[in-house]
Amino acid sequence: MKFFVLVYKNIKYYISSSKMVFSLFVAGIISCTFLLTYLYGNYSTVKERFHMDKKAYSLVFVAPIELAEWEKYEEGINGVKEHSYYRACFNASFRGEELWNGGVLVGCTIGDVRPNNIIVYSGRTYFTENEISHGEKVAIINERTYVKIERKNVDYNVDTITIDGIDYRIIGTTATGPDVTIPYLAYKDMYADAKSVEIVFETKPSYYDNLEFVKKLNYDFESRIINIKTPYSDYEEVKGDTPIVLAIFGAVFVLISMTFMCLIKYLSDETNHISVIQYVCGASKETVASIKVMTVFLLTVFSGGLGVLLHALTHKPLLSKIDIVEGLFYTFYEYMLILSVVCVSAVIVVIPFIIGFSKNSVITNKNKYK
Amino acid sequence: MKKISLFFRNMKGNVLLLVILFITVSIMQLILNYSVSGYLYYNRSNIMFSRAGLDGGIYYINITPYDQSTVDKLGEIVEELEKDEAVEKIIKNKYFSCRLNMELFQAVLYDEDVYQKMYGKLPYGDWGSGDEEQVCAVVAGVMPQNAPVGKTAKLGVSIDNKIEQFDIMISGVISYPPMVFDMSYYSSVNMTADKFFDSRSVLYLPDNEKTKALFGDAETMGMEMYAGIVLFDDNATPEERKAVSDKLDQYSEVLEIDDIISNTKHLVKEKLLVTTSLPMYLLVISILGYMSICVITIYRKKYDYSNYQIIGCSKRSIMTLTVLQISFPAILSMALFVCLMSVLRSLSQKGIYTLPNLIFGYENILVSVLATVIVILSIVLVTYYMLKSFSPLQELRKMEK
Repeated sequence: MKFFVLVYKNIKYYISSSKMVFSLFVAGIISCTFLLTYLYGNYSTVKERFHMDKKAYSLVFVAPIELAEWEKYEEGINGVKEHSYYRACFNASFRGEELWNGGVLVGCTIGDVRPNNIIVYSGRTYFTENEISHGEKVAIINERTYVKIERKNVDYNVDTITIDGIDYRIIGTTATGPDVTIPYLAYKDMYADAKSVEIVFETKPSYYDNLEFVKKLNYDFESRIINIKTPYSDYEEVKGDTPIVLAIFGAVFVLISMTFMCLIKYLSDETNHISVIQYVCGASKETVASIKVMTVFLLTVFSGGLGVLLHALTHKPLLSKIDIVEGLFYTFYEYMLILSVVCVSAVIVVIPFIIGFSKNSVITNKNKYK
Repeated sequence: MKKISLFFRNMKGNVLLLVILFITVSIMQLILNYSVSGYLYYNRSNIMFSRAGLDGGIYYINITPYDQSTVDKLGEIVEELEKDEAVEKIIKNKYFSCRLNMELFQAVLYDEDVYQKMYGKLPYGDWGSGDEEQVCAVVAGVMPQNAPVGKTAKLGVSIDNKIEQFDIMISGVISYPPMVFDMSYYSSVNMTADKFFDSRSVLYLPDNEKTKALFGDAETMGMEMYAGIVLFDDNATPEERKAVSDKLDQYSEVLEIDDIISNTKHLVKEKLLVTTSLPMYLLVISILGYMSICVITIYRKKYDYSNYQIIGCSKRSIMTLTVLQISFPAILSMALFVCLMSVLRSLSQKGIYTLPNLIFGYENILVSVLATVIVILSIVLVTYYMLKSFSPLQELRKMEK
């Protein structure tokens, strides 16, 4: 207790020694903390992935799920914009020649007629209203399938691809998507189940809603789901990189805050006589050094904490306007992480002080003071 | 010589901190100049767009060019609209491949009125519109001083699988970076003026009867009818405008040019605010850093300053020495960036080197100087505040005590 009272008094001596120097130090560390928080939010891949505008969930089942069962279940989910079914087929041929030894992934989507997210390779990459409503046997192939048949000069709207004995007229090629995409009704005519289901929500669910939804899926389907890909899966993958990202930004923080350490060194030198008095009054050299080091540490942490608090208070009304990442927000946990980085940086910053004190004995300081 | 030696000797003790500040200020200058150059590019695209008198018009583009049936139908509608009384003119995307003195170019048939207004005065030559006898072309995407302006060049065009050679007069060259106007890009999210410009080698030919007569069939080769801009007659009513827009909307995406211009203005403002945020943070830190070093230096050197004053040095000279010593890294960084920007600007204007979507202008130099002036000003203020009541006698008395 006595130790902390002395640290507190030491801080008071620092302030009274030079208010200007003290204010500059606090302002400097606050601005460095602002920069650290800004860098973490706008330049970290972790945050970028968190804020990606993904709205789709992809579920892979152990055994194919009945379409009727899934559609009944989906009625109980709010805000679903579209869904897609996928399944593997082992019998796909083009002009009588088998295309693969393994499986071909067939998919269908209920949603936009002219989806903007499908990258056009060639031909037509959307189904017309007529093809959708009548479930016509037309197919859009992906690049993998196209590569298989390109040497045969595929003639769009004429050539067909045969899957499980049914001919589908090829209308176009996309760079992404399943091997073969067919209209929803055409899929339902042929298959009653799906190995994988993708649902797209109208808006991206919040992180906590997402956790709740995944929990619900796992509960409702128990062990029937092998894998769930959520809008936050990419974020979860890179979440482990957070310490590395913070270490890099922390290094930037230490480097820049070093500029302001000359101020604290000055204040420390100016109040050396206090240390001598403490020594004369019976404090050991270690205690005197610890008081100095603790003062520097607490001042840095306090200023950093003030910076974090100021950032949290001003981010929504003011600072969010200059963010590079749109709709960026910081959680309480992230602010705590940033504060921890400031604490660790403060320890690093204190090292030169420890070295400085171990060089000179208190007696030397005492003689200097005399 | 002695003064210079004193200047550097006095900096001793602050070297590491000044090096850190030099790095911080240089990073700030680098990002700041990048932001300014990006801003200049976006701004110029909007200026060119407005200057061409396209405001009030509509932009259409068929987004399924691989579906020939929709392209053909759009072509029919465009032909029909050209006869419409409400329509003043339709500027279409007309181009074909060619070889100019054996080098591959894209020939663009340009609307004389719109393009000349858009690009303004050319750095070398002119648009050659006054030449009655021959077809004059303007080149873009080449070094302006290397363009054969005023000379006749050989233009190779493929007609019926044979390369036909034409003699063509090069009357002018577009400034660098070229910013070639192209109408084939579409984005449903946020269509802005900058998306209408890219940098490639282009030969501009006037879209008139003279050119048609020269090239004959070649003129129609490779032409795309899937994008264009409709300019309305001044007397066109809102209903008539809507009817034109609705017709085009059947086989294309239609956007108001005014919306594109306002989107760009918004983007320019937003981009400038966002891209300058990091340099602004760094500038604030640099200012605080310089102020800190200034305060500490003055506190530590008050005894030295007393001696300087006693031997006849004025207070103003002491202040100048202090300000120069502290702001030395900022001045050095500014000098470095002013030189760099001047060189890049000169290289870019000559067409020797440029970076995509960036324009280097005198604004870069201005911003670099301005940032440094702000830093120096803060140092001057602190120095003045700390030394205004400075008295050598008092300091010596303090030391004596």
